[in-house]
Amino acid sequence: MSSVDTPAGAEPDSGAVLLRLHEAARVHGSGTAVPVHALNGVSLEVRVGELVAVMGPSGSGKSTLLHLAGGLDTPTSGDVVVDGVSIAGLSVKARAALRRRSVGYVFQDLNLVPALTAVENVMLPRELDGVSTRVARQEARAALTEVGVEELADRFPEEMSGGQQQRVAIARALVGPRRLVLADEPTGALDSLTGEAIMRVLRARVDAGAAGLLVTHDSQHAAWADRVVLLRDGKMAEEAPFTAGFPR
Amino acid sequence: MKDRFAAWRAIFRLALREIRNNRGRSALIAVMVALPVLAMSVVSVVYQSQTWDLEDSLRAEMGAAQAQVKWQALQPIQQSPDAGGISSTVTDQSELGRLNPAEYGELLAGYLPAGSRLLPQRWTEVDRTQVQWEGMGEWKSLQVREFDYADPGVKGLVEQISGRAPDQAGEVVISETLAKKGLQAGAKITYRPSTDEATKTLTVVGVVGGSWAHYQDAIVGRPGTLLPEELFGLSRQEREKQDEIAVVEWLVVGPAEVSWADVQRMNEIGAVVRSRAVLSDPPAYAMPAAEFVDDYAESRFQQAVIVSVVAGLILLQVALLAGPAIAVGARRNRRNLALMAAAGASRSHLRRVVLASNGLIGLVSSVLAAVLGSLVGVAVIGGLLLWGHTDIPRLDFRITDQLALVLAGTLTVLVTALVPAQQAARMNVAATLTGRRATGSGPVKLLLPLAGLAIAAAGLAVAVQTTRGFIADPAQVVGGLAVFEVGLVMSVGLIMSIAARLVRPLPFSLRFALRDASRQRSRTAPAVAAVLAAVAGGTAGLVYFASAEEQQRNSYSAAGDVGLVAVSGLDPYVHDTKVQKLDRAEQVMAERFGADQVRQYQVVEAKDGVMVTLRPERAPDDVCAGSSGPYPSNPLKTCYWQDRSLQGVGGDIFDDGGTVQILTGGTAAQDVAALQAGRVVVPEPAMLWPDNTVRVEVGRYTAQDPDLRDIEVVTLPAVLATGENILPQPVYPLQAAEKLGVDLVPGGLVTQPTEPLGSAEVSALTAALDNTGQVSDVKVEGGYQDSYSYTLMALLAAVGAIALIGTFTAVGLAAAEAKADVSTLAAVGAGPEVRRWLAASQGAAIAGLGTLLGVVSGAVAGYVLIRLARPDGVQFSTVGIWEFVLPWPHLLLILLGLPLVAAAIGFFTTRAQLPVMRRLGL
Repeated sequence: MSSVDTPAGAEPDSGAVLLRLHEAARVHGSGTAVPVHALNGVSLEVRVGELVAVMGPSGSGKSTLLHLAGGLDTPTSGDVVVDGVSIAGLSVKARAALRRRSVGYVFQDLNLVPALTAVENVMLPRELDGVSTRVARQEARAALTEVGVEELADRFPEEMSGGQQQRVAIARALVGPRRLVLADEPTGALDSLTGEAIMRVLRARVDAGAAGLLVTHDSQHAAWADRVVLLRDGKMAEEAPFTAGFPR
Repeated sequence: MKDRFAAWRAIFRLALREIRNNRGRSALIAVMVALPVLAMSVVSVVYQSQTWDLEDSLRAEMGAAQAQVKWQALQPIQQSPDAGGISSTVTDQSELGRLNPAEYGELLAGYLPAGSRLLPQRWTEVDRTQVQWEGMGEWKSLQVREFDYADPGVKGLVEQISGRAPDQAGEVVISETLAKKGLQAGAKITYRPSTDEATKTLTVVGVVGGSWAHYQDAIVGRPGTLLPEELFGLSRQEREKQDEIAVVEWLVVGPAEVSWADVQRMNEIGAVVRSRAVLSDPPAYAMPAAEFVDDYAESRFQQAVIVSVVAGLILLQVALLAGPAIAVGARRNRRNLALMAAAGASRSHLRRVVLASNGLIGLVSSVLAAVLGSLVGVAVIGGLLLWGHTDIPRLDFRITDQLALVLAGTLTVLVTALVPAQQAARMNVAATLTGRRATGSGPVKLLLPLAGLAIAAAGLAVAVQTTRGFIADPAQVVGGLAVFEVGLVMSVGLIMSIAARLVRPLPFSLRFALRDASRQRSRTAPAVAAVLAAVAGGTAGLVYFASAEEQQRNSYSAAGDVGLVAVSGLDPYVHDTKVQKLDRAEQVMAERFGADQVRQYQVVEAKDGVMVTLRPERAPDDVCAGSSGPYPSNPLKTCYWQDRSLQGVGGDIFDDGGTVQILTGGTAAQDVAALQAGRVVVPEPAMLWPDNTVRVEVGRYTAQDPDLRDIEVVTLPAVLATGENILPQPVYPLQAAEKLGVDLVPGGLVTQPTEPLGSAEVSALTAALDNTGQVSDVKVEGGYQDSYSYTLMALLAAVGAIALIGTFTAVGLAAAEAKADVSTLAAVGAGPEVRRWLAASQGAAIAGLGTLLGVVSGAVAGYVLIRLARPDGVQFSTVGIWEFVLPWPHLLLILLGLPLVAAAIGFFTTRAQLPVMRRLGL
């Protein structure tokens, strides 16, 4: 198992596993409190070039799954391995470093830090990782170009539309060496056309060598995924590939 | 390639944008930091400028000269290096006493280092000599100096403001104070060395400034051109029999320093020397007597400790006021910080963002405040210097002080931001990102508040214990009280938690406010603590000043009924001309009030340079009025006489009853009769011996040998004073003079007008008396005037302002955070007024809790301060004692007024309209 400090994801092999959950469980509440099983023994793999959709009703554990995958939370049992590194034994600091180098998040709204411009938002994980400002800016501009919003680099979030903000968020999620994007209802606050455009960008980035885990309520958006995982009461209820009939 | 500053750049970029996007909150924190830094910056410039350092003192004293020499005694002396302590032994005085000043100067010259010379400076007492100039109706008394101040050896001592130095007889320069009275270069003045001598005409050729020229009316001429030589031609012994005071001192001029060995050699001939070299590098020395122990360094240390503690308390207050704003700022920024964390920011990154934004505010506001404060301080001192203020040696701006203030201001904000930064760093990122509401502070942790209570108790104990000694160390007392306050501040969270448990019977809005305050302690505890600290400090001040007022009122001794006019001002060296002047003053008084209304009293004459003191011995069975007896076990514990203020009638007076009749407003017929019968009237029972006598110690001494007394005890018949407005000293009958072996001269005049004089009449009378040439002291009894009423009002205003700022920072922040609660309340049917009542209750809860705790702890601190003013070791007599006074009207105003005002402002400044529901932070 590689150390987290090793530059992660240096051109991982196509088809290599970027995220693996093995019997991962998360129980909230301890001591005298009634325990809540937010996630209960979920096993899942996401490979390079693969977009996996997670669906399920409210309270089924979708967000918890995403938080475990990005190291914002840790499993109470089982294991979560990101880019070859098990997060179970990592310190808070090492998990933060993991997010800077391997994992990027895209949320439903309020994705960007309002006080920073688009390019500064995308630069942020790289600068925090000690990459020089000049290099970070170059990488960020490249990432913005890849999602088609390079002309918005110097705009603040409030000066951009929701769809533009989500594109910037995707660029930030995949800037530098990051290859795993964790998207939590990325189209939830957008109209359907814009939502489709965002899904197209996400799909394109995954096809270009990344991997994605997408939480969504919308089966139309789930159709962009290679596979759909259905969660219910914290357990995996079903896993099935999407094969045909959906726009790409 | 790794860039170690890249992360910092990102952090500061974010911090700067946060400051810009939250201008209101940033400005609030900046103002809270800037105001005290600005005030301390001004104080620093003013204080440093007003503080005389050695070089300033030497310049004002001797210019560029090496030393200043005075003929102190007729026998060998020993002096401390700074000449502050002098001791001498009684030896044969005849040899030195036969010298006149000029001969003594020649003797002194033999003791100087090689290459040095003496520059004499001679002057007379102010009222010895007089001048007149054109347009002036009467003679004016002033000082006449002879001094070659243009000598390069004394450069810097006197400043030539205009014109030139006199270079021949008949020319003089005038001091700048005299120039301000209309006299200018080129004017002719008529000079009369004394009333019975011929006049001379002098030409003014310039104006000088300098240490004495700043405040003294003086004319300065070349040596030997102004003062009558006979004043200086007499031997010292002969001169001391005259009452003419003429002074000579010498400045040692030359390249060689005057060493400690030189100083000690000159001590052998009775000279006391202040040497530049010795003062700059004082030798280790041991004086023979304990009274020369120099406690200057200790008092400087105490002062430094007190200043540091007070500055620390001010910064604590800043931290408490700014704390809620910083805490809520960090909380409002949680979502952004959580997004950063999701993007890979570590806890230390998040902590640094909070610290950087607040640190930047602290730094920038402190720098601006220090710059502004320096400018104000420089302007104030510059203005005072231009105005001719003599107490200020120079403008002294110290960049190190200002940098220290900037550092202190910045560090205060950084330390205040530590806890919010830590909370932000440890937040639950997942919970924040999913919009779950932050929970309250949880159950109170007991360790910190209990430690706080222990610290408070320890601080109080130290302060109280310190005041038990005979001489209490103010630094320890203030330090102890500061620790007491810090301890209380630490325990506020626990006290709030307890208060929140007792709210069940209260109305809804108050109950909600107190519970919310307790749940959100990170925001409200600093605000309550800020109110507590401000009110505690204010209450301690109120108690102290109210007690001081009471003490002064008690110890005030009226000279007579309101309106009484008293004229005095004669020193004991009375001579004929002064007696004549008092006669003229009596004529003025008689013309104004009627001859039969004016009474003259007598005082002891000082003849042949010998002063006489009269001191009643305490009666044996009443050693200390109001105490249990003497203190044979501890000589430090002594009883002492009251020193009540004398309003115009002072000293030991001899009276035939007429003056006492007026002073007592006719209430003391028995006293008047006793005086006429030859009995002494004593003011205190302790002076009256069982056999109805007073034992008076008659002491005689000269100015040169203040310790050399010839004491005899004389027993005189006496009675206890019965009238009102009795004098603090015994009043002697005229017949007692013979038994006491003293001669009497007129000492002063009193009269009681039927109607008190208006201020215009007082001015007219003073002017009429001044026109007699009398250097008189005219006092009109006005009764006791409040000393501290304005101080008390200013304290109240300051306390109110600080407490309300603290309260409303917290209330505003609470209101902003309570939107979801208010929406919930609206959903269950609460009316629109509920928002107002909540704000009013939150204001009342925070201000009320802080005020209650502050008044109680402040009263305790005030009690300790009163103990400091009245150490246990000393027994006072019943008048003038420091009593612990609680100024109830002021305290009630604070206790009730502050919460009410806070509630009222909260109520009227909050919009009643309910916000559109935005649940769950969406």
